[in-house]
Amino acid sequence: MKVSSLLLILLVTAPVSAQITIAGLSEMQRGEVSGSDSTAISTAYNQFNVDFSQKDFQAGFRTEVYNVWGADREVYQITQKYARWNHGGARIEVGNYYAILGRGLTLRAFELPGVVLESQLYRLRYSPAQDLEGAIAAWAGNRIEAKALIGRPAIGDIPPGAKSGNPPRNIARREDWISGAELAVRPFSNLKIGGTSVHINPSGPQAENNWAWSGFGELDFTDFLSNAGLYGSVYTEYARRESGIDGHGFYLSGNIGGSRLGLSAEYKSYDNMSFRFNDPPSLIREHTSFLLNKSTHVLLLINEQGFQIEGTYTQPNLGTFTANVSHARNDLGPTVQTFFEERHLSFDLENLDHLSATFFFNWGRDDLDGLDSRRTGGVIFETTTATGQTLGLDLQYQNASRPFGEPNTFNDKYGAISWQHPRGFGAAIVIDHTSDPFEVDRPETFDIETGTRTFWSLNLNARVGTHYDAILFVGERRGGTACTSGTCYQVLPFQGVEMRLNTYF
Amino acid sequence: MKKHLFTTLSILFLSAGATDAIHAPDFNLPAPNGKRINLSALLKKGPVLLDFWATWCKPCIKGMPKLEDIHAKYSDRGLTVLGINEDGPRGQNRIRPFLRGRKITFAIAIDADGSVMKRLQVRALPTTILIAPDGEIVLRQAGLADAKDLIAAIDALLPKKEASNESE
Repeated sequence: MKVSSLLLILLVTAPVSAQITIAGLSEMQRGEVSGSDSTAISTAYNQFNVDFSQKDFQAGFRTEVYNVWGADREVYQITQKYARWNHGGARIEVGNYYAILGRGLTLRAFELPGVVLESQLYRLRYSPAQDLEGAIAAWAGNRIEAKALIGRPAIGDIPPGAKSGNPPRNIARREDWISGAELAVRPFSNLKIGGTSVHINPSGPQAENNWAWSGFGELDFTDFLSNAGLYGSVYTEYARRESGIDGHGFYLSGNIGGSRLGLSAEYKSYDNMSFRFNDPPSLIREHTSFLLNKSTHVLLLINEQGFQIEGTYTQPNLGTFTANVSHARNDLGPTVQTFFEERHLSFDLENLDHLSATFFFNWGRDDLDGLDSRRTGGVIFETTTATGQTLGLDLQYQNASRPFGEPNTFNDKYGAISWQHPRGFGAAIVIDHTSDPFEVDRPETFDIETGTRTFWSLNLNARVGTHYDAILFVGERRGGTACTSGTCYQVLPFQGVEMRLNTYF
Repeated sequence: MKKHLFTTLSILFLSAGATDAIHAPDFNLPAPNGKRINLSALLKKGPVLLDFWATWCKPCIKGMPKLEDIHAKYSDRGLTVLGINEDGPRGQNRIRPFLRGRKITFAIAIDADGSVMKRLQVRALPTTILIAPDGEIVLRQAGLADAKDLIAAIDALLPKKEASNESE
């Protein structure tokens, strides 16, 4: 049935108590992407999410539309559609849905809300989603939790509308069928034990059927410690990939603390656990500061072992000290090993009148990223005036070296000045200066540029009532790794004007 | 087909602004201690203020003391403040140390697969949503909440303090 007809039926037949909500995300660009084959281009990415709800029932769909002026690329697709029934702890959903089994070692279907990416290979803009298309039934009670699901997972790095071949044909983003289940019980209120199972039916004729399973347990021992004013819990999950390629995953985490001191520790060991529809915990600290976020280690599920320990201490009327140690090792062959190490110290000054500040220092290495040494420091100040206006200053510096290239040592300097009005509008000027030879050399020229490079930008934002949010970017920004909600992806460099509009009705 | 679809969408987009009330869909999520939190059960006690947040989200952290103040001031008048954590599996182990250290005492629920975020059409962190006892969404703010608007909306939903004292 045509979507427009379906909408019409919904509108006409909707009872008085029913409602339709629409959320839109539009991003328009006029500019150029360094290293691309075309000069200045104009693009528009539009996403509409239409939801119809009545009491416990919801149905809806998402359209993604991408237009390029100056190049032969456009996409018009309904990328998600669903119908859902929810009542108390019960959930039944058909169509596109998100789900997690255990802590994601065997399955996690999710999206990165608000992220719009441009695929370097296909040069199409899209919202990355690793969702499932099929059906799920779940029950969550105080004693028993159960989930059963079936569906085809989307390959998150292939954008909707991607084509290949001659003549060009759409690339299938969903091929394999999977079915899975989770059952967990709570024999006591502070103990949860359970297991997950996922069966994979690959579509390729050469591929073997295979399945993965996991067992997990979680113990909250706060009741035993509460007399001493402490809390604590542990979680562990062991997963195996059977038949086809053998693999395993082991995750162990725990936390303990009191009113001021907190400690969390995690251990991981993953081997051949990349299914493209799972997402085990990475044990890498999520950084919000620009220079650290762009040099985040990306988990390698083919083989990675490591740990992360983080301690926090909060001094009343002053702020919070944080210390984090992360370590990972990848065994990529009999004689090939790579290492990731990171030490992070930060202090958040939180309780001075009208002033907050963050000081951080971070050092480490990431062989997979080609960095054998990296030291980063920064300060971020924010002050609020009597009229509620916020002024911010963000200064960061990074010195790093690579085992190859000339020069092999480089530095990055980042500065931002921002102003935000309490009524929801503001502005920021960002300066990003680097001597990284990979950034200084412009791929669109045949020459090898040396020296330094500076990226300037002006960012304006405005919230109009409760229905619109707008962000305007003017200037140049560099590409590289960025991370949101624990998931990292590559963003392309851009120079020009970009306007983003979020709408909600 | 494309023309029809986008004409329909445009009409919907423009006409939707005229709709009166949007009701929040129900959800059922676990708290860090494993207990289940159900929106419809909370609404029976009074209005609910949802705050979508994550441990790595700087504006979320900045806004939390204000939400804690609101919780301290309005919880005895029936308001429930509920923080919905969006860390995913990566940051789940750090939630408790984070909350205890910052003296956050309002209720927290864990949306591990982001399905509640999707159901409520939340696209940015933090997002604050105020829901009236009948389920109607009366205020929605993406980004750091405007405290004046938020408090005015909460006050409008709750019985006046003097009136409640008199009735007692």
